[in-house]
Amino acid sequence: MLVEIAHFSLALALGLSLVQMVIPIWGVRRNDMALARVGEPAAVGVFLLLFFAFSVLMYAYAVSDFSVQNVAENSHSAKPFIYKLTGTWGNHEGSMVLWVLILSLFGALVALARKSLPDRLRSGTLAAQASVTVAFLLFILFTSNPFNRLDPAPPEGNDLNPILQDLGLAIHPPLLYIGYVGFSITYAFAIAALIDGRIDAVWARAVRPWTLAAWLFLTLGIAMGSYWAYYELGWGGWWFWDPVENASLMPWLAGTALIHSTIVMEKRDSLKVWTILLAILTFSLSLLGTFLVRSGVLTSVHTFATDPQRGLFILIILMVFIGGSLALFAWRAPMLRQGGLFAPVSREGTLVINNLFLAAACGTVFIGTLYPLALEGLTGAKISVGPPFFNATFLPLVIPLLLLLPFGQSMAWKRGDLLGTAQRLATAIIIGVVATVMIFAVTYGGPVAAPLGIGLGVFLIASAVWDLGERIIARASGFRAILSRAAGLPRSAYGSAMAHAGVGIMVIGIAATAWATEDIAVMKPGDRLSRGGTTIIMQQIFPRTGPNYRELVGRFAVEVDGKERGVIDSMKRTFITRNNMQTTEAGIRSFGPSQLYVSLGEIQPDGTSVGVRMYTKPLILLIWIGSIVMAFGGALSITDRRFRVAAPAKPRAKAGAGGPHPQPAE
Amino acid sequence: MTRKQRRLAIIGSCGFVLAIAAALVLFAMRDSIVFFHGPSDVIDKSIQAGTRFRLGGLVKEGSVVREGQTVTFDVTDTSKQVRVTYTGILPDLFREGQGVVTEGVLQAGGLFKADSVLARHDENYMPREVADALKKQGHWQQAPAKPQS
Amino acid sequence: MLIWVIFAALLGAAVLVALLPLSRGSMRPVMNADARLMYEAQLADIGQDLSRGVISAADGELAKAEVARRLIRAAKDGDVAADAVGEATYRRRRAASAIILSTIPLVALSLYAAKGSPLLPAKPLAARLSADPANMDLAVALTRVENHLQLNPSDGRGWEVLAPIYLRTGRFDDAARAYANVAIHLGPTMERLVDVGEARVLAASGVVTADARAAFDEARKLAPLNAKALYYLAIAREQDGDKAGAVADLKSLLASAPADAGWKPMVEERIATIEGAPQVPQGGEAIAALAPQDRMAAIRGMVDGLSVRLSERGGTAEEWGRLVRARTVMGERKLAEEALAKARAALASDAAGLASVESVARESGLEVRP
Repeated sequence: MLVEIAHFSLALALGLSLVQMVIPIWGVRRNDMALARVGEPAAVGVFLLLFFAFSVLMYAYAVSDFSVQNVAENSHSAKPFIYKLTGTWGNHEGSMVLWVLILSLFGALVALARKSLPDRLRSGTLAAQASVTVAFLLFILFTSNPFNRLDPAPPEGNDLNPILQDLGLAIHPPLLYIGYVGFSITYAFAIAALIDGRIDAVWARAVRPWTLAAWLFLTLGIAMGSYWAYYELGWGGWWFWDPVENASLMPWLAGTALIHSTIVMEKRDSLKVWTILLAILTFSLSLLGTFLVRSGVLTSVHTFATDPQRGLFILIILMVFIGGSLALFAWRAPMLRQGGLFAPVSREGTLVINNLFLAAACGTVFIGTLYPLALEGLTGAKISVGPPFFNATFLPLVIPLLLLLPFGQSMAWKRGDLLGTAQRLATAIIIGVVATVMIFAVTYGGPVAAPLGIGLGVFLIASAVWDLGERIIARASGFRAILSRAAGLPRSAYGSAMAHAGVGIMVIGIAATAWATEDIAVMKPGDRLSRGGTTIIMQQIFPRTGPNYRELVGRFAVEVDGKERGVIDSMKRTFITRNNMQTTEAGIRSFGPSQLYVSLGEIQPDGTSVGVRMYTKPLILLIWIGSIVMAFGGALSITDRRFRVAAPAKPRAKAGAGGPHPQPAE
Repeated sequence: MTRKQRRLAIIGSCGFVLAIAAALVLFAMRDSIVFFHGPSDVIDKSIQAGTRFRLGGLVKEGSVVREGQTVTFDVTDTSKQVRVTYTGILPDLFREGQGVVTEGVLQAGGLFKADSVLARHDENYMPREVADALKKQGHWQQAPAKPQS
Repeated sequence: MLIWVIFAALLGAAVLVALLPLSRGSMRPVMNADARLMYEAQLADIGQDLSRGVISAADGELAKAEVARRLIRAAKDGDVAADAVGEATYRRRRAASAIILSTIPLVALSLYAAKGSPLLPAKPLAARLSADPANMDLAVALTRVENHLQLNPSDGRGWEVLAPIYLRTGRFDDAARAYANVAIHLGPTMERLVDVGEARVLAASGVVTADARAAFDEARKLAPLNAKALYYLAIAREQDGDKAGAVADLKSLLASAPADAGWKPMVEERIATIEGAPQVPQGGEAIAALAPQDRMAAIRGMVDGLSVRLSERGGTAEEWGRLVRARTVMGERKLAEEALAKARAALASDAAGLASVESVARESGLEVRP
């Protein structure tokens, strides 16, 4: 009965969303507060209904109720309990319910954020947000209903793709979705502003925390996905320029640009039209990502089911929302009051450059991802655009951006001084150059990219720290004054410094991949495999049984520089519940931020020896640590009191040129 | 600077960055794009040796020969086939009779030297390119649908 | 019934929630007041920062001036004049209420009605497994044991549980394999090997194949054969054309039988069948050695015999199941359905037996209507 009530809640949520979409707009147009207010309780109601529906679906998974078709197709009674739960969103229907649930969560949060948002803006935003909810609820109810029932219920389920039975899956999609869907709020804000024809610093101030929240979750989601691919796929790679990865990278790049352009809009009341456009584009790219992943246009691990009807439906949603919003933009944007121009050499000037580079980088990813699809549609020729393309286009755009980042960060608003800024950055530049030279000398003969990249990363970190230090110490005398300045500095200043330092950490991790090694050997117990100072010794191969799989374990002793450093177990799993599908569970051991990564290949015909791949991955963890630091910086900025009371710009109070960037692999 | 100069400077820098981006894309399009061919394409269109491309099809039953770390096998679309050699560890789901996509360079003798064999994520998943290549040969049937009850 | 009450309650709550702001009748018009409040808060904030010495006086003045400018602009944009709360407003709100009252139930009920199954109960696996064994979903239990054994193929006890279930549901090939696993993992005994042989016989629709015979021969090495094995070996003789020998064996089996042995009638019947059956063409070979169509005919003869016997004298559920299965295996769907119908009539008082026949029928692909 619960399942049926949940199904009904889903339909009811659609009805309520329709009301939330229509009535508030009417109220805003007619200046009728009562009508405009309808959106608020409706948004909360929709969230509660969807929360209930999703919880019930999860419950059905937990108790293996195979009378629910979605559960029967994607779960199995022998699956470990935690993966029964996470399997709720490990499939198309469940993940779409999660999608709208998060959508409605953001709607409810906007409805409850009474103090910090002007009434008209809130009502318009809720209505625009509800239109997205309506579209996706229709999509779910008509093409992807998770509550379809089976009678009689099958005795056993089909189980979840084993590669998705992993804790990474438990975390990655929800984070990513919060990011994707979070940008829907920014989009809704933009639509509300366009409909209302009013946009100003208040708008930028109101949008910023939401953008930051979406951005930080998207950052974590992408990082988590990358780490998951790294340890689960068993190839030791962490970024493949896979179209599905690109689909999440594009909104991230646009969102990063958006964070920075709203600063300009808020502080200098300019870049308005561009910011609105960027808000629309960011969410459009999120929708495009959803379309690419869900429609089966691209095949990948994320494509749970390919169903042309679904693809068509999402395509229609895509066209309505992107086309509709761009048309609205074309119609209303010229009526917006333009902001002033400003000097090219100034904080705002550098932020424009930041936006320019980010948009261009996003454009190259867009072309690289969609060009093969377009070409195949037009000429039938099949091509693959892989890492070489992105390395040749994306990197040359991102590296200058990163080099310029510290300059923007420490330049003054309105009228900057290039030379003065360079002087202020002198220490950081010197630290970066020294780091490069030293590392180059120590690893002479090795790849050149690594020391250069690490130098860049060190420069980014040093300049972020230096800039922060200077603000605290300069013009203050005495310990007490320094403390008071440190306490008085807005949290967003710490946040942006932290985010930029996070970029630096990540750049170091990426640069160090140039030193990574890969060795392949056929080993039997007793064999040794060495690279540099690291040796693995195969101890034994033995079978083991898990809850819904059997596995062959290769156990290796690890020696670093002649010293015993524990053992690594590396597994080859066979999932009996899924047609004996095999997965590789790499054995990974961390030494500080560096890792030793051992994965098993094929068992040799003789049955006693096995192919082994050993990777050494110096500093690899810095890639993900850097992303977490970035996200943490974003979180720190959100907690800035000023967003809540909507305090104004103090000149030079906030930082932020340049954007954090993930970089291509290998 | 006057207002006009400012505007020019901003528009100029926008144009500059966009021009660079466009140039990079065009340049990379020429050099780093890999085409996909099925075995029939390779033989019928007599693709030149030394060309880099992706080859996809089914691993022919009984054609896999292992020699230490080197594996040779035939990739077929059921009408034509191309012999492939690859050194390294094969992905988990590499099986005879299953779909495969390899990337590498065609050698003079018609042997395809692969430097990567793409893994599939799911036992039911057929790389779309492979499915298309098989469809072309009329040998593709939609995999039987999952039982609904 | 309860479910409809809950639906109504949910629906009512949703409509009420949407109507709430209308009924409260907040007459305050939408204004720009919020923007003004925001700027005023900003000014207060700057004042606070100044007094704490966080920003310099000059910076503070600059910021104040800028906010003040924005404040003036916001004020100039003007408070949108509030509509007088007049007839138009009331009419508008009535219209909005009507929309809310109609849209929500209409959308929710129609969409749910299209796809929902309000009367279908939930079936969590745990409940299905712990259900009273009589109504327990056999297939569910079976799958559970099978999963367990796939992971632990050396669990002989598990195979021991599974094998009779296979036998009962007519999956004789699987039963044979399961019994063989029991013998392997728990150690071979005469009884276990005889079970293997019997399952093989049943899998071959009653023909004692060479495989089955091999199992009986193995069993003989361990201990004197039990009655079951002797019975099948006698049948084997019959197959080989040695009818007299078969009858003699069966008779000696009868002679040695304890008085209360349940299988006595079966043996007697068999003797009668052999003696009454027309002679297999001379030099009679084993059915297994016949040409395919002849073999089919021979098997059909046996199945028909079984059918006649069951129809006339009745039999156990197991036998009915075997008949249904044999019919479907031979592609005689009609006859299989007929047999099922007869089984229903014959086993009307034996619910468990009927269930096992029906599950065989389901397994064999017959449509089983209650």
